[in-house]
Amino acid sequence: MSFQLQNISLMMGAKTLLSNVDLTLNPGELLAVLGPNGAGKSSLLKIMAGEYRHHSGAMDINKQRFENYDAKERAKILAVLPQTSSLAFPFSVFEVVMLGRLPHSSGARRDREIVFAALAQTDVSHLANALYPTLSGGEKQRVQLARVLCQIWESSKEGKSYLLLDEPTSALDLSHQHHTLALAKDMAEKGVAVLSILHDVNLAAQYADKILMLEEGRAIAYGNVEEILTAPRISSLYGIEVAVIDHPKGSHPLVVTL
Amino acid sequence: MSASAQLAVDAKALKVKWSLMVLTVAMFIALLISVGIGPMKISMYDALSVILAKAGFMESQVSNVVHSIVSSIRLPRSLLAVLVGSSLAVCGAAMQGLFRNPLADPGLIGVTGGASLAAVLMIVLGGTTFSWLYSYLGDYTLMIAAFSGAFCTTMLVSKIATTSFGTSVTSMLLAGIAIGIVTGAGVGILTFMADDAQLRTLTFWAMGSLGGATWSTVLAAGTMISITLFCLPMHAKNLNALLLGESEARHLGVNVEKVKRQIILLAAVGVGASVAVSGMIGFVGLIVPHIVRLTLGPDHRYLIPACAVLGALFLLVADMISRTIIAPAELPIGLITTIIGGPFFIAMLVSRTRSNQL
Repeated sequence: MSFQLQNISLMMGAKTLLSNVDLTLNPGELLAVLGPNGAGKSSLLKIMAGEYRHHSGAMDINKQRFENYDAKERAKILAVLPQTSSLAFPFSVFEVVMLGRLPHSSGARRDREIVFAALAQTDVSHLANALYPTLSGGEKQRVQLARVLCQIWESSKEGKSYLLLDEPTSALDLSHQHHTLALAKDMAEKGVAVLSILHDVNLAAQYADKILMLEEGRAIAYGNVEEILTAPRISSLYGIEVAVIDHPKGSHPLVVTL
Repeated sequence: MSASAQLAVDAKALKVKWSLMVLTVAMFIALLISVGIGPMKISMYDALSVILAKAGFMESQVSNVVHSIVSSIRLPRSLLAVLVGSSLAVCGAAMQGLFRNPLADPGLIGVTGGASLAAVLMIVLGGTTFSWLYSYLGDYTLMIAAFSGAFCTTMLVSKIATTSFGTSVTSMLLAGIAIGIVTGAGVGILTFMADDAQLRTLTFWAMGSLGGATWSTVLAAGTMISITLFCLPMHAKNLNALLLGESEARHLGVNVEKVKRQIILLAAVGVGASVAVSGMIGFVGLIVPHIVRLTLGPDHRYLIPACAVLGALFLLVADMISRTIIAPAELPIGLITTIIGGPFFIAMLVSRTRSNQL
């Protein structure tokens, strides 16, 4: 079981946003997608989320064609955290997170347990009664993360679950960046397949199992962290000079700009 | 940690339950008072006994005059206030959820304008050009025309205001203003063509009035409005998800296009039926949902029922004011809701501009 993309291409007018991307997202692993602005990272995520439908190529989730799923059934195994969310209505944090249980019919009591567990996981339990529009950007992002965690909290009879995160750390302070990725990693270890768009190469180096590099809509590299994160490759991708050294703790590479 | 949080959530559910109960009781009391108000004072007890007799629960215990005043004049009018008030408030709430903006009042975004143009078309040309329609649709002609007008304008506004990036509030309000002007001009042309009798109906109607209430209008409007009032609550959870954003709702398994279409259709049915029987009664769909949201929050599972009851109560009270303030003459109810609603809207606009939420 996996999330398989074959030969995905996307045109927007005359512009090619993605060309012939193949990808397999496996349960149990955290895949980081890296690339400069405009490389097609968000487009790829939006295609996988079912938002863009005018792409060519085929997608399968757990061996079933993406389009053949009933929307609600698919929502039970595929959760998406968008980059920004513009909720302006005064929902409480609890109510926002509860929306993650919408595709499920697990009963109010179980839903509530899951919501509180998710709130605790993303470190926003203390905000349960706060109104969402009054939160800071980082708090909002953590609440939204709790919401998507709720959506795939329990393993479904539909098969393995998938979690797509679009820059989940963009508004977070240093400790919450690590907290969030540790959480994503934790989800992966529980058998969920996680894909996350990241800008921080070192976060990717520390937490990801696999890395996909996109450049101008093409997948230029895919593989294990140590294989992919080499100085020449990062330099050519981002156009800045870097060196890759061993992390002081030795477990993964560390990228430093020169 | 979660003990206190859980309590707050429960407290809210309890508050909702109580508010709904209190509002419903208040609405029934207002209904009885409203039936009693008029040139001939009728006590709440007598009003109740006529209503119960009418419903077949007991023998009428009041004089025939009282009975016929209540049952053929005042009761239909009060019931029409209940129907139109709930319908406008609930449709307002649904449209605000759909457009993800609390300023999306059916009147402000041109929906009422579209409905009224179509209805005026029927009033003025119904005897001649469109007489064949009347022979098919009978009592429902005006209502179906108003519904079609409401539906077309809602679709138009939503097409203009929605891009792949979501709904632009500026485009929505501007499109609404433009449509309002165009439909207003259309109504103007038709008014110009109208004869004296039609003119009187039109004036009356342009300012909004429940004066035309009979059992047949109550029945016709009631049928259509019930569809809206019963079906919109089924979309409560979908509307909640839509508030997060269309993409987010889609990720949660909501069939966004289908849900949007159905909500637009249901709101157009409700607004269309209301406009057809009572003319232009503005701002109910703006004020009522806003007040409910302030007290009970934006959750549509509570918002829709609470709007239905508070909307009915609001219009009953407005109608009582309209009937008594310059008695024996009658001030059109649309003027009253607009006098309350206009400043209310400006206040909302100012507070939202200040907090950069527009």
